[in-house]
Amino acid sequence: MLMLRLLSFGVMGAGGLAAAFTITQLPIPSLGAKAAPDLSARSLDLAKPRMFLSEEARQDAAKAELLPPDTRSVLNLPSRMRYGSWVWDDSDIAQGTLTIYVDLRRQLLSAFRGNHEIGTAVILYGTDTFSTPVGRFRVMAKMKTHRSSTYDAAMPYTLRLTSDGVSIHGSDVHGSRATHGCVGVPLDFARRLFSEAKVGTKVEIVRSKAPDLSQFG
Amino acid sequence: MNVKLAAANPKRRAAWRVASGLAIAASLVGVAEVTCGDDRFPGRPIGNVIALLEGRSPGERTGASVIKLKKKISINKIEESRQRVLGKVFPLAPPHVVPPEDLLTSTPLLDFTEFQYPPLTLDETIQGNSISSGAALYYVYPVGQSSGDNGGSPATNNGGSSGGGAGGSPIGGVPPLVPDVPAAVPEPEAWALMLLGSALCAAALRRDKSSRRRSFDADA
Repeated sequence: MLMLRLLSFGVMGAGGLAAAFTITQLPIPSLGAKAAPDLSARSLDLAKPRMFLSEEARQDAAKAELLPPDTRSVLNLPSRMRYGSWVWDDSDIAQGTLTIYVDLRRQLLSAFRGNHEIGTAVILYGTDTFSTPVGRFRVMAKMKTHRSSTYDAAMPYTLRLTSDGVSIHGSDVHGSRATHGCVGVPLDFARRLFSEAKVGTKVEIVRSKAPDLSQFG
Repeated sequence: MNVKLAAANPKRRAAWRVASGLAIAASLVGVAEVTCGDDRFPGRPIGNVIALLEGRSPGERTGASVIKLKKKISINKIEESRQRVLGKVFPLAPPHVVPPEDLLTSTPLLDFTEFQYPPLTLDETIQGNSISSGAALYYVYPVGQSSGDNGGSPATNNGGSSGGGAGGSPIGGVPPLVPDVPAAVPEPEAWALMLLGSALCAAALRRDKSSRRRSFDADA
């Protein structure tokens, strides 16, 4: 009897904890793409997974620094992405040059192949003290298993951008976290990015301007 | 009515509690799904690329939410801390135990003259020693210890060989054993055992209290 009562209290407590965890942690997958840990391409489960941009839309997005100027299409993600979520869909895109676009304000990284967005992920970036540099870079080196000697931290799938160590690498992406200047992306996304990127791949890091959202609400 | 019956029966009450806990958890999870899975641009035409690109973002980072992911630690500090932890648990040195028969037949343990003294007879040494009478013994003193009344300045090596059947003394010949040092950090089993013990204590107290109440009721 006593055990039953204890069990009942335990179930209630566990239920409360599970609910609290769900609220705070936010379930990760967006559109199911997160569930594909392998490197094979997986298309989005959408009727229209890709949105092609008109000339006007392209100019608007480029003006707000939300996209590179010559973007042709983006992934059609109708809902907000969460910390740790990412999407990769290159199913209809031919082989081409990879470019990486990072927006610190929106905490997003987008990978483009031939002016078409093939992947995007929520990122971590540097604190105010150790800020992530803004500008245009090229991948200086690729290191699959790297460990930061300065911070004694693992940096899997490192794409090095600067000589002082700023890189794009796999991280445990959660809210309330920041890096010492690197761009952290979810590990599986980092693996895909690493397999696509080459030494010399262009990387642009921007801090976009917040658009006037009143026109949408 | 069913609810009243359930409340009256303790077993059913517990079952109700389990069910209500699951229901609360399910409802909270559902609320979380509803509140967290929002779209900040509901009903927006998909053609608006600004809304699309802005809406996929988890939002701008706020200063209050920034916590450093990696703590800067110098390599020297890491080495120091490792050594400090390892210093608590050091491997045991293999005990240097010499069988008594070897002690009797082996040569003196040290050849340094400052540690060796003239052979003494059994009468002059520890009483009750199992070594046969007349056997020459060698005392080995720790460094710095005075020879005391055992007499005289250290003599030269008096042969000290095993030729005469004399041997080294076990006194000072066996180094002290290194004590077994427990692990520095409690293991998970220890934690589990402690929690189990606490739970049992609580259960016993509750049981005791309820049994006393029952006996009081019976007395009444």
